[in-house]
Amino acid sequence: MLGLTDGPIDVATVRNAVDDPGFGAILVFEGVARNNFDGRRVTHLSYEAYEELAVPVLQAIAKECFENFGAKCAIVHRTGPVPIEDPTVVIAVGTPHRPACYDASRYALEALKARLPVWKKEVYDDGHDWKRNQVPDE
Amino acid sequence: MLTISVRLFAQLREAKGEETVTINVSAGSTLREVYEQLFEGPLRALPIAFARNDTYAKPTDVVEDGDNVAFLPPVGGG
Repeated sequence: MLGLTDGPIDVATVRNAVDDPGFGAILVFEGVARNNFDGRRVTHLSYEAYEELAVPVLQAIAKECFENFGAKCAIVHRTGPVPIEDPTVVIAVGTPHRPACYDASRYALEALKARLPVWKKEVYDDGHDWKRNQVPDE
Repeated sequence: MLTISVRLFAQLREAKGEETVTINVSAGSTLREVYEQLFEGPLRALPIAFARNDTYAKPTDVVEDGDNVAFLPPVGGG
């Protein structure tokens, strides 16, 4: 399960997509819409995506999680308006043992933030900003 | 002259008021040159990624008549 959705993300469905009888560890990460940034009240977020490129990028990240950590990976990113407290992205990873599971979860998130062609608009009471992710090598 | 379609996202889309614009460019134009034909000021200074016909492309790639190109401003997923 790798894709985008313009409605609420069903966290359990993403988690169940990595079920495997050989796995002893499953982690589910939720990125969540926060109500403030730098002292400003955020009313909601809104995401837009280049879907034709985003899905291949998610597939590439999942492949890297398997090759680097032996992990099975499911990722769903939301698009359109997202209310405060709702998940914006859900990443589920499963591995035979826990160390690789933590590593794979972090890897998938950081790779997504650096590479996924998705844009976040943070909406305030009095305007909005397009947020740019900080990438470690910048 | 060539006619190409340009897909825009985020602040680039807002600046033009449209998700897709159709423009004429000179034969031999690169993606970077097309970008600079469309945007100036702070938007021109953004580190843009490029796509051509739904595949990532280099700024120096030359466009062809009928291409669907896309300009991708810095991403903000997660």
